[in-house]
Amino acid sequence: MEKHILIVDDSPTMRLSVSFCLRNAGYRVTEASDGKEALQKLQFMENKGQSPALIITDINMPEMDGITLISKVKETELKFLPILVLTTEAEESMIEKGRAAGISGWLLKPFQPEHLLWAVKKVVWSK
Amino acid sequence: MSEREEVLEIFFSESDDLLKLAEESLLALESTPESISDIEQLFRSIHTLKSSAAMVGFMNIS
Repeated sequence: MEKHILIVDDSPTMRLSVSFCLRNAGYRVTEASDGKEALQKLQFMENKGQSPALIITDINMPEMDGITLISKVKETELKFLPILVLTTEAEESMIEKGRAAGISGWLLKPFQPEHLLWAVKKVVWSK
Repeated sequence: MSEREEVLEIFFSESDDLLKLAEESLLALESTPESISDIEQLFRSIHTLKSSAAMVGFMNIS
């Protein structure tokens, strides 16, 4: 069965670019435009007895930012779900916040499709 | 439509929205220059435009 990935980013251009990259590699994708919508989508999946294999999230987003989303997910039953950050944010203090919140990796935009797929495979298959 | 064309179409539409948001923030800041929410909105819209432009390969804009 194809692995399901939740993409969280407020930029439609970025969501579509990541979606194409992952769909072309055989993954199933759900999109959310900020942390709040991501939590709603996760709840919706849980109600259907499903959960994604991975979350890929941006950091700077309206409504709910990526670090808050990660912390909230880690408080739920999905705490072992791998989370990759995909952002333009390269400040060490922010990366440290991500590490402290329990992320599996920190990727920078703009991404190269092969780099993204490599990082995704690494966390999805080691689950 | 190719994937590239589809992404570009979304990028142009997103750019319009982001420039409108940036303009709104700048106009609001003329009367309330201390407004943190307007400064944040201005920052976020330009920041997102910069990273989306880089994603579609428009490095001069980025």
